[in-house]
Amino acid sequence: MKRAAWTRPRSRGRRPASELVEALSFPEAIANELTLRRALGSLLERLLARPERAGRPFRKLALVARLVDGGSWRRVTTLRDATAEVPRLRAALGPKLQELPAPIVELRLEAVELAEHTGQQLALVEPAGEETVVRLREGLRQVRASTGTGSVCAVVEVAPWSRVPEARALVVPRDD
Amino acid sequence: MVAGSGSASAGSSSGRLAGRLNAPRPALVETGPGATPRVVNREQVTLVREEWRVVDRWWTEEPVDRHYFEVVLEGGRNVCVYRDAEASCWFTQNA
Repeated sequence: MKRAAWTRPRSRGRRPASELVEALSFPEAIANELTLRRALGSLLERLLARPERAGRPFRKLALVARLVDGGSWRRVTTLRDATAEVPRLRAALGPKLQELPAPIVELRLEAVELAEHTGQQLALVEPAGEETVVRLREGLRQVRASTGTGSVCAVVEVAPWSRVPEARALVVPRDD
Repeated sequence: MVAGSGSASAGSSSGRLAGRLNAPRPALVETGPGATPRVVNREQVTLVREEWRVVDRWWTEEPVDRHYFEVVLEGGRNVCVYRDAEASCWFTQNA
């Protein structure tokens, strides 16, 4: 009873966000910082596109990696102000990648905690192209429904400077 | 981009596997002076734009030793061809 009395007020109002996870596995180990930053950018885009977020900005995020030797690595970042702005998220998470102790075979981005507010002001005029985006999403949803999850992919440039042409880009399934 | 069903790039939404793009394909190459490609898959080479060599992972069991050429074919297509020194054969892929 005592424990319940202590824990109930603390957990009130918090929504678990740990199910909000995006991960990218690599066919071979990567250590190049630019490649890692591109992978992070891709994960951020995918995490931001998740409908479960419901417009809420991130307050705490975790970068998790599976190292080439089988070990794991995790860094949790608490943002001073909750945000869903890509440049600010990149600035907060990007430097963490330099702390990786070894090449990695998987990079994962977890939304540990979301803010309760959406913090977004409604637009007076609907942004141009919004309807096109909605139609495109609907079209992709239909393709996915008929061909299965993972059938819609995006090309992500990971090392466009590489002298090995097949290492320049990867094809990543998109489920957003 | 829409991949074919059962593509190697497919996976679960939380741990999706990135797939390879522009995988090299075996090619039939005739060479001219200096081992430069002259004909690629029965198509004449009109221009060799660039040439480079990649030697990597020599410390592993899968070393990479490739001599690349970026060429323009008779039909106007830009392709990369390389001779794999390990396998002693030619491969082609998009430039």
